[in-house]
Amino acid sequence: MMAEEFSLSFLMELERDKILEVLYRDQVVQKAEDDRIRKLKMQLHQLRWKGVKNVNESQERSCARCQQSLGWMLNRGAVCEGCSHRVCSGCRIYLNIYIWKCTVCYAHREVKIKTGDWFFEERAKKFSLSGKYETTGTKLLTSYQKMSNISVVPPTPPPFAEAASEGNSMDLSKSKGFTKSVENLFFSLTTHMKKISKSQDDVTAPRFHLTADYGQHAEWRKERRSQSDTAIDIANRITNAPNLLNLIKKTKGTEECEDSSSKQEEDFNFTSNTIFSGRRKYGSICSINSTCTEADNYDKTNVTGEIELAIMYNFKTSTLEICIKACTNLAYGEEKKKKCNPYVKTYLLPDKSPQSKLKTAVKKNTVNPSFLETLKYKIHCSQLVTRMLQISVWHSGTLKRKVFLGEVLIPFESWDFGDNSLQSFNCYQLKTKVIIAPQNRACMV
Amino acid sequence: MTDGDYDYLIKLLALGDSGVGKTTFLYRYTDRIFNPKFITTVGIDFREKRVVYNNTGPNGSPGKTFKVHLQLWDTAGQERFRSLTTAFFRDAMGFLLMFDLTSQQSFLNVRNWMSQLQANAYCENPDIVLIGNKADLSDQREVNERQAKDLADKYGIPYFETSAATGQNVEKTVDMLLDLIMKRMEQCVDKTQVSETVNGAASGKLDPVKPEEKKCAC
Repeated sequence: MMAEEFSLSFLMELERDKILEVLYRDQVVQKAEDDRIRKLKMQLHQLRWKGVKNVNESQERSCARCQQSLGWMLNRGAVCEGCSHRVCSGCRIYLNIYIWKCTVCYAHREVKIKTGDWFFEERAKKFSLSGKYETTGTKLLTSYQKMSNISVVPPTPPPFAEAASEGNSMDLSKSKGFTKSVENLFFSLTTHMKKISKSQDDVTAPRFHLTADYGQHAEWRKERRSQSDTAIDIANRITNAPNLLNLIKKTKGTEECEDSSSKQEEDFNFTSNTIFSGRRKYGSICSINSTCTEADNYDKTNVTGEIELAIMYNFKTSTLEICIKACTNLAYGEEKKKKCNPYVKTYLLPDKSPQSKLKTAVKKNTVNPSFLETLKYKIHCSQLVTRMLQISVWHSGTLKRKVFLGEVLIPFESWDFGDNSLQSFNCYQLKTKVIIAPQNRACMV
Repeated sequence: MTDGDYDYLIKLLALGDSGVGKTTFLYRYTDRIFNPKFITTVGIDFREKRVVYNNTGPNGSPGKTFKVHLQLWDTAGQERFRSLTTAFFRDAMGFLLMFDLTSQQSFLNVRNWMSQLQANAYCENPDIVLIGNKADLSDQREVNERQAKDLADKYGIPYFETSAATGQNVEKTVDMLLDLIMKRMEQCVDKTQVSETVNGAASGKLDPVKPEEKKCAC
């Protein structure tokens, strides 16, 4: 029974990854498209400016486009239907033998076609309430990323509306309805994963999944024990917010009574309430630890030293391998006691979810630790170009207090995967924390 | 493939029952290869192809050529992915609605797919091409051409019988859809400047734009 469940959930995870990979690929296409559209609009803008006349001039009869003066009898010019400006015959473009437009209106029309604006306008007539230019893929990805790293403050309403962009006035309920249905898929997949390893009160169980692949069971156990203080925090919050608790209970109930094999289809039919509460609950709890600890301890130490590592991409297995060799001359995590128990943590940004987090073992009492560990991400190379590797060094203090010791950011945008020199070990200077605003992430994806 | 050196990004989407050959059809179209293996599509996928579109001018005059970047979305036919796949309908400019000529059921479901499209596509009457795939398996055929043609006529959409195995009509079908979309684009931008006429939802195509009167003064 257990084995069967596991293989099912394993499949689900694969499915989710597969879909995510497609979505990331789509982002690459979308980015090229956005750049192209920006250029087109810029060109149109410039063309417009060329034709701008000041008010005095427009009293005279001259072509609005080339400024050539127009006569009363010959070359009188004609009014363009699009912009109501009088233009000379040289500044008209015929769409067919009857219809013409002035050069600017024509360019405007071309841009509207080439940028796909025609499509967005048509669509806005039907779905007037959702983000005009946003694609489903982007929306899905954004909500997925939000879901896997939903904010530290649980009882806020789900922030989907922000993602809908373009400053359009949005009807919240409508947009939720849409996001909900698609997001649902991810939710159901995540729930499956969590379900199998979860006992009633074991909120940290999801971590097991994230680290199991990398053989860090022991690490996970340690963490779990030490999380009790955070867990108490959560418990407090929950009792303070009875609504949330009720919702959580409801989710659990639903899960238990469902048969795992038929569960997945039913997941698609969940009511919105269940989905939101469930999503928020798991989302917040699994990210609460790292977010809290990180936020607290950035500025308490100086950042010194270097990290030596090699990065390579294995095309055969679609794996990004980061071999962490050693750090030198680190700052002390606890300056007074001259204590330092460093370890290295990586994220594949913009994904800040636990799925994206990898860690090395903690080295005791040293500022020159030698790790010699390889951290691996399974990711398709086409996705990788939109990512950035964040490698940070932390001190693991008593009571699992974590102190930031420095970080290195490595973008993959222009990474040459074939370049062998990057595959050998390099030293990187550790830097202080760069706080990446959430907006940046939205742009990146 | 992902540089911005093209004039149009056209997003098409293939839909239809599971196993009718959507993935194989698209694979045939983009790579000119037939892959007989059945690997069910997980949720959603897409393929890309850069084509050159030759726009014949309004009066058959020699037109311009454009580089078109096609993003061909492939969807899972399986019911369990339905809510995901239909969410992608709204981003597509044209649709390849496919059924299997050797499966009566997949043909009967075309009606359902049409209503899914009406609900989820960017407008009530998007550009659609009806495709009867697996035309090469003539001995297993369950849907005759007349039946399919009648249905397509009812919706006012073109119908093609294709074979991803032999390549029969594959390119022609996509070209046809591309053609419809290119025309639609022009109509959309010109229409909005003339009048905002709403077209009947039953017809698959817009009515041709009425030739406007010539404005004088020239």
